[in-house]
Amino acid sequence: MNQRLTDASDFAQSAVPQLTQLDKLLRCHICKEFLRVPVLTPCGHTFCSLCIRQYLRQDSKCPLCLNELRESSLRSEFLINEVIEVYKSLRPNLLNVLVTKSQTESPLIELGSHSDEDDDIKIVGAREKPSSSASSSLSLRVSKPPARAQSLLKNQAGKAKQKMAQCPICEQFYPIEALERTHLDECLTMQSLGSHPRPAEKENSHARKASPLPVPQKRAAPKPEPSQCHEESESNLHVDKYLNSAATVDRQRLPKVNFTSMSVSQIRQKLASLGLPVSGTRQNMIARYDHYEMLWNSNFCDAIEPVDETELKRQLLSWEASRNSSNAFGSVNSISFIMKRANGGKSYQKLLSDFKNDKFDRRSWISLFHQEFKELVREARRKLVNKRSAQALTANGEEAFQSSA
Amino acid sequence: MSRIAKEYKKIVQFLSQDHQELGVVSLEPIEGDLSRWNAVISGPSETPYAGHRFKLSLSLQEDYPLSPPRVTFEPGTMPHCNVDFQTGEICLDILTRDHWSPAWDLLHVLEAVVQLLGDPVPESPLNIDIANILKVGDTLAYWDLINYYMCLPCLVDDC
Repeated sequence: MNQRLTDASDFAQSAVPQLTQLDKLLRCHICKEFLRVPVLTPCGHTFCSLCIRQYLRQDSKCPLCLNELRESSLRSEFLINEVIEVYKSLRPNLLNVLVTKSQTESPLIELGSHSDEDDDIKIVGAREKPSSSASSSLSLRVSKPPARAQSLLKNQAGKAKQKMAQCPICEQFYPIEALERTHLDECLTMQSLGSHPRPAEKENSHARKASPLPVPQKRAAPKPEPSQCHEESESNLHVDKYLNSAATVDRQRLPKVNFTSMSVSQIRQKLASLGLPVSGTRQNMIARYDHYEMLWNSNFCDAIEPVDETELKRQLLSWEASRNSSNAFGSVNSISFIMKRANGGKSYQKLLSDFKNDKFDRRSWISLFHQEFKELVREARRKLVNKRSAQALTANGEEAFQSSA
Repeated sequence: MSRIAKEYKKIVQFLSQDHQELGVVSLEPIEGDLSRWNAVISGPSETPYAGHRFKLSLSLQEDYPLSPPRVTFEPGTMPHCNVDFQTGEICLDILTRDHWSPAWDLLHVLEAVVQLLGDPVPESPLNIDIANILKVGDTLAYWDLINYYMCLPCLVDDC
């Protein structure tokens, strides 16, 4: 989850206020966050899988157009999912660059003063200025090909100054230093293992062999630099993930259960068969199953990368914990009872209510439970020591047993 | 509750841009508690409410936005056929669980309330006197009655 509250209006003051629209479109209309595991309705609207499932539980219609809508007709949207992932990773950089730029200097003035020059080049120049200090990754992405090629040439020229030599084993060219230091060893071990050197290196050296004077050749077919290689593989990650996605159902969808006709023990059985806790009242257990069913179906039916069952159970637990802390404030567990006695209870309750948000006061929480934490640490140490001595004892015993045998 | 925090940000941004045409004058949480809000709207023009301002209180439940906010006028300040004068309760379909949509936010709600002031629905009244006058189509009496209410002592600061 985002630490800071992001909102579409963040772009309103930036150099490209139109991005507000894009930002708005990529958000769920229920939670107003960026869509998490987006699903498409038959009426063409998109929501977070969990949000819409939660809403459909109480009302079976689309929140946007109010047409009838059933949970079974939701389809996952992998493309939007990846688009949002890419956008989310881009957004901080985008904001950084666009907002600082609009504050320092208006791009319009720049454009006007050099109106005789080419617009494309202008924009590149204007963008590179702030980004060179803020983030180099973005400047690579937004800069136009000529600039990219130029920087490539510069790097290439620098490399060409190094003396190259051919490796006697793989017959490829490497800088002498690198060859002597690492490559020979690498090559030899690779050969003895029956495999070839890393393909990336191979490619690079091939290119060098083909063009002893790399300058004009490079312009025609620029090779990605290491940093760009990384960038590309990262952006391709989302493309690949999308291309490889398929609506596989390797786990059965959990059915909705009509609990009205079931006895408490039957409900308990049902929960136990899924490995869920069976504590609490009938109401608690039903709510627990319903929420788990939602998490499960959203995860295994909609998500592009389903998480593990244990993670789902963890989510269920935290959901239940937050629900209980807000619903039944009066429920007395042992710790809160102790704390009430010791500290008047008020500060503890206040701290607890903030436990899950950013306002949580870590320091006073620590000081409040200082004694308890100390006790726990002491106990853990004692247990560790006990365990060790027990192990030593058994090891001794075994030895003694063996020697006697 | 992160959704309502986002809405807060949006509302602050929205109100700073001075959108008078919607009739929302102010909307802010009470003492920093994002589940209770106070709002002030202004009466739409070409209605008997024009030129007056009305206070509303909004309260959000635990499962907002899945459940609608509870919206009431300040008791005893709003003469309208769909508002209970004594309690300030509002009869508006989008504020019921059946017609609410989680895609709406607090600004939508206030917008709808402002619209209700301009388009009273006498078919589902909470203030029967005004509804009856509207049903027989006595516009003059309707305007005068509301103007009379507006000048009651409790509303005197608006006159």
